[in-house]
Amino acid sequence: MTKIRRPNLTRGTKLLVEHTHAPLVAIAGDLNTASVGEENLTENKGTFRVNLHIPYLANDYAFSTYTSQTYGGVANAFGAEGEPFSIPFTLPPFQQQFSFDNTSKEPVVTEATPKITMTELSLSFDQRAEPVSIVDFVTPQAAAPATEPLANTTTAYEMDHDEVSAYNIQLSIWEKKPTFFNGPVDIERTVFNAPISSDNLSGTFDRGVGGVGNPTILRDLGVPIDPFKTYGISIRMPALGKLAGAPNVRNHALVSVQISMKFKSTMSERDIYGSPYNLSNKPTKDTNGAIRDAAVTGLSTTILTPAPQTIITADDTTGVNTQIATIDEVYRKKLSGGYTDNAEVAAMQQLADDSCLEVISVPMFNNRRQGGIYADTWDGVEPYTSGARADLWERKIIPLFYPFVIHHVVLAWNWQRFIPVAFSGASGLVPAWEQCQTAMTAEVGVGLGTGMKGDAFGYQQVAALSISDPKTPATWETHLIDKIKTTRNWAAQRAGTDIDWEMHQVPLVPGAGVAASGNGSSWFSTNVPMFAGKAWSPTAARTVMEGSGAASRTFGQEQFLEVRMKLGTLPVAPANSGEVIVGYQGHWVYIIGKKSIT
Amino acid sequence: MPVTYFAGWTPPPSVVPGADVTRATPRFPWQESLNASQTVSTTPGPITNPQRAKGYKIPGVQTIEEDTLYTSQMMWTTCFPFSAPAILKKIYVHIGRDKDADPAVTSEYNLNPVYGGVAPDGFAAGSTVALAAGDPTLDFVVTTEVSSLFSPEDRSRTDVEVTRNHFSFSNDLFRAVPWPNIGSFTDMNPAGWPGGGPFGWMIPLNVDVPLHQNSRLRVNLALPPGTTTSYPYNSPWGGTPWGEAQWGLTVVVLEEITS
Repeated sequence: MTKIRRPNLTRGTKLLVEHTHAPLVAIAGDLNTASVGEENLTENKGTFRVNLHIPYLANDYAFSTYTSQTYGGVANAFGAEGEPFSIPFTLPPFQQQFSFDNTSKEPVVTEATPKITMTELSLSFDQRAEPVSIVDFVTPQAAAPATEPLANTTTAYEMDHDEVSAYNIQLSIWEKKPTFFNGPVDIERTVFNAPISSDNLSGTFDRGVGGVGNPTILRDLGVPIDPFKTYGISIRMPALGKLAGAPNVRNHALVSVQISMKFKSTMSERDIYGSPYNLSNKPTKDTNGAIRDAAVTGLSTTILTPAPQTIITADDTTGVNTQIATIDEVYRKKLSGGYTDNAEVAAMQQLADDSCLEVISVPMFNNRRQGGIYADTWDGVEPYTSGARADLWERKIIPLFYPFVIHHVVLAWNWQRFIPVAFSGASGLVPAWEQCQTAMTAEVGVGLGTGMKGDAFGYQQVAALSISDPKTPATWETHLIDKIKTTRNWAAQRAGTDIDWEMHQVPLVPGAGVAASGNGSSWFSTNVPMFAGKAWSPTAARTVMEGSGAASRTFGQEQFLEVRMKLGTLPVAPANSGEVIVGYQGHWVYIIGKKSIT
Repeated sequence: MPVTYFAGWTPPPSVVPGADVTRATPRFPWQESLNASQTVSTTPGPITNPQRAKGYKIPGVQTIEEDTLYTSQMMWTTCFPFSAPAILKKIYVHIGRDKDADPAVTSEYNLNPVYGGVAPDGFAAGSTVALAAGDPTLDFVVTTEVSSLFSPEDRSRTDVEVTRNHFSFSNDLFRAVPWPNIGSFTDMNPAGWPGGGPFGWMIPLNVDVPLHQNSRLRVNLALPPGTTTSYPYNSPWGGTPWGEAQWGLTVVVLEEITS
């Protein structure tokens, strides 16, 4: 690709073809070979987001100060300080740029590594369209003796004009080096910190004045992102619950919380079937067919250069103005690239760099009755656990509208503690205390599905991971990327199990029950990237699944992504009934790939 | 460039051992659609938006305070703020249920969206739009609104971009021909989802609406109120409508290429 530059000439310089026509020839060459790179584009960065929807945040998590007295038979159960609620994420490089020194475990960063910047952070929640706070379904905890909180059966869900100050929020974005790259478990750096005062939330005209309130939009952040590091968002709301000695007398909840982190990254080349990877499930029309490959089909823009020893003119056949007009005409018609929603590409393309990162964030086992799932009450409370069934299941279906290429799948496993609520008024619930010590098995899978409003049906496995026994690294940490400690007092009270989050790679695989080929690039062995996108007839023909050679079981007609989890051999009679199986508001599965302009 | 938002969850089961386990609590993020009563505030402010959204009235449920059958529906609202112009492209609402016809399935979510023995008030036989027992319900609503730039918190001044109301989502089956039973198709791993193959409803909304700079988009899903013994409305959603199905909301937006 050529960085187009116009030569600066001093007064009196004799015009040569190298000064006038050569740059135009270079431009035409890029246009004709679909080689217009991001370096020649003014707007050369794509936009993507990490979107996190949390159904509610309430006082079944220790946002506010809690007594340090014995609770549920556990001494100093919650410490004396509120804790932040956190969600980690990572934005790894595409497989083509994913490289690290396997001896030193140091990532290799090159010029091609995506340059990512966080540009915006937004937060919104549901105040019922009024300048109020929403009363929690959890009653304030008794000061002494400490008992587990009860369900609020009288005023839950009501509007509270008095105590909007409960919504004083502090948002933090933090960063750490993953343990995979020999980083610590502690957060290393707060890269961004934003207090959100509740002042605006009492307004009747605009509760988001100046981008602060509901919604909050913090713009122009300019936070550089290291693609090999773990990032996370933490939310502190110390007044969400009733505080000893504070004016607020009720507990409150933040409802339908939508967090969106917006990023921009330099555009990259669209993935092709060819070096370095033979992509799985790639439409063949764009690769093996005689048409539509960006490298094959281009324009035939011709720049006519004056013959030697002739005068360089402006407007005749080989004139400078005539040739510039030729180039201008192409640009007026705009440059093409990317995919349509049916995985079709433009008949003639000019852009080489038309793609950037894409992240689809999928919550799993969220919005549970007790905030999370723990050993004391999962049996019979969770769906499908009554009767003979003894496994926990979760499934999310995400329709595909635009295509993208899946490069990585990451599971963020949540161990964050929570405070079970006694809904019947009965006492005796113990706090969700420490991470599961029983030989639990965890399976997570990502599949492409077809059959939505259609005749055909089927699944093609995209990624799968099975781990077991959280206390045994040999079976639980086979694909561990990171361990993270996001709380202070809570973690300190759990010697040996003081981790709040884990990040696991879910390797791409060629099919259900088939091991990864290892031909891809990631933290651990994985398959090469896989195309995912609905099709019309011309784009339904696809390449085979790399690693197995089998055709996709969705026949090039995938319509949705399905993320599925199964937790088995659970502790029905655990040694410690407070063992956390799923932390507060659940796990997250990040499907990370490369999307293109449309 | 396309951006995908996803939200969703599986609610607790309705019938389980133990007296303290029902779908009655908690019900967040579903909240009442009407802002009328308030009992906790010592200094209650005026209600500025009695109706939280536009266009969500369903047959048999009156949202006007003077009506004798006045009651609140349940609404899940999510706000998506955009600082730069964008295009709202597509919305999918997934209402998942179990395939109870599959012998391998122990059904926990079995919503059947047809009216029961009592027709909704005002829609009985002989009325202009008659609804009878066994008719598909018209009681689920999806609306999207953009706040007014000049009065952003006044919900009577929002721009309704798309709304689906008075429609039978029975027509939006996930698959018209039921997915085969467990064991009769090649599953993904972990195999054997206990509720059977994908079943229920997928409601697609082709939107294609431009969103202006600094816009605030709200997507509202509205359910009927929970039925009570005193309320003459035979709703298949029962007393805890938020717990009758698995929920999924996918929003696709086109955003800018930037420098």
